[in-house]
Order: sequence, then C-alpha cells, then structure tokens
Amino acid sequence: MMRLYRALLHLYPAAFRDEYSEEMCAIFAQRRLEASRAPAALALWVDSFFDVLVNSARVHWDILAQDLQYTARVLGRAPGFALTAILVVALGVGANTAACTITDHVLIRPLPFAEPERLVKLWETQPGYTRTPASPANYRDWK
Amino acid sequence: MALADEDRHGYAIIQDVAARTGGQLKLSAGTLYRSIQRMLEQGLIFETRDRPSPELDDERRRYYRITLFGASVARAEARRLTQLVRLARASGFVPGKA
Repeated sequence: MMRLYRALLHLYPAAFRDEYSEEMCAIFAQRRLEASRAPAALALWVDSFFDVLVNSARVHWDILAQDLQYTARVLGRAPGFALTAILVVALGVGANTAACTITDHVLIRPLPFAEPERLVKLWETQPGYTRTPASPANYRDWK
Repeated sequence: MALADEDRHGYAIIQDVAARTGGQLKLSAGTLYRSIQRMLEQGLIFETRDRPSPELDDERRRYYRITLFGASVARAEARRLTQLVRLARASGFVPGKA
C-alpha cells in the first residue's frame, strides 16, 4: 500500500518530493490507520489519488510560472540583449528549418513519378561545343 | 493561524484546521505541503529545529513556526477580512447590527 502511494508521489517534481514525501507518507499512513474499514480505505485511496494528481500538476505549474517570471524579469532588465537573443534564436530556428526541409525534399523523399532510376539527361553535341542541352524540338524529333 | 499558538508538524496542522472549522475543511497532504512550500518561500513560516521529547516525536515529522513577518501578514489579513465583513454587514449581506 505504502509502496503504491510512494510511487504515486513520483508525479511531483523531484525537489518537492525530496523535501516533503517522507512526511506525506507519514500522513497517509496515519490516515490509513484511521480508515480501518474497506469503504473508508477505498475513499482514502480515491482522495489520495486525486490529491496527488491535482497538486502535482499545480506544483509543476508553480515552478514553470516562477521560471517564466524570472526569465521575463531578467530579459526586461536588458531589452537590447533580449532582442538580440530572440533574433539569434529566430534566425537559428529558421536556418535549421530551411536546411531540414531541403534535405527532406532533395535527399529523403522519392521523386514524384514512377521508376525514377530510369531518369536520364539528354545532351547534344554540335560543332564547336562538346555538350549542350537538348532542345525540346530535337527531343520531339528523336521520339 | 494553526501556527499562531505553537509549532506544529504537517499532520497536526491538518488536525488543527479540521478542529477550528468543525470538520468542514480537511486539508489534503498535497494542498498542505504546497501551501507550506509557498509560505516558506515567502518567509511567512520557517522550519524549526526545536522538537518535542523523543517519546512524543516521529523523526519523519518537520515542525513549522510562524515568523514575525508571517504574524504581521496574518494580522493584516484578519483586519482586511474584518473590514470586509463590516462592509457586508452594513450592506445587509450578513445578519447582525449594521
């Protein structure tokens, strides 16, 4: 029983868990003793489950909100630096997206027609030129 | 308020709140420790090293005490609520003398 409750406490952030899990387990054990009958024990489990579920999400949110507030304060103190950092990150994201898109379309995706391995390129040779692109009219004649 | 008259550990705070509210408010462990964490961060309470005698103690327990700042915040909040009740009474929302 206690193992299950302890496992449930892993939904909390590690720092919160390290700080309070022992006492929370002690409280759960105390309540478990008081809830000797099966319905009371079941109600305790349901309560504890939702308590951990809701409060762990709130603690995660508290930490996120604190981090965001701290970030906003630090960036607000040096707006020039903040703007440069945002621009550099935006450029980096843009360049990465472009590189990945080109790689995907050029190297990874198959060509948009059947039997692409039969694809050839036609050239013509003319006096004075070793190789020139074939003209559409000549291609039509050759066909 | 549960720490106004003496240092208490988590479960004692839960029991005290339940007793003060006639069993209407039963704090869950998660709600309690989230509140404790916030009050510690805001300097309203602190964890005290003073512990009861070993036969009454449990080493897993942590005892909390209200700070001077916490006490003044509690008094300010009580004043604010008193004022609010006075206004509500004057507006006829609370039974009693206007």
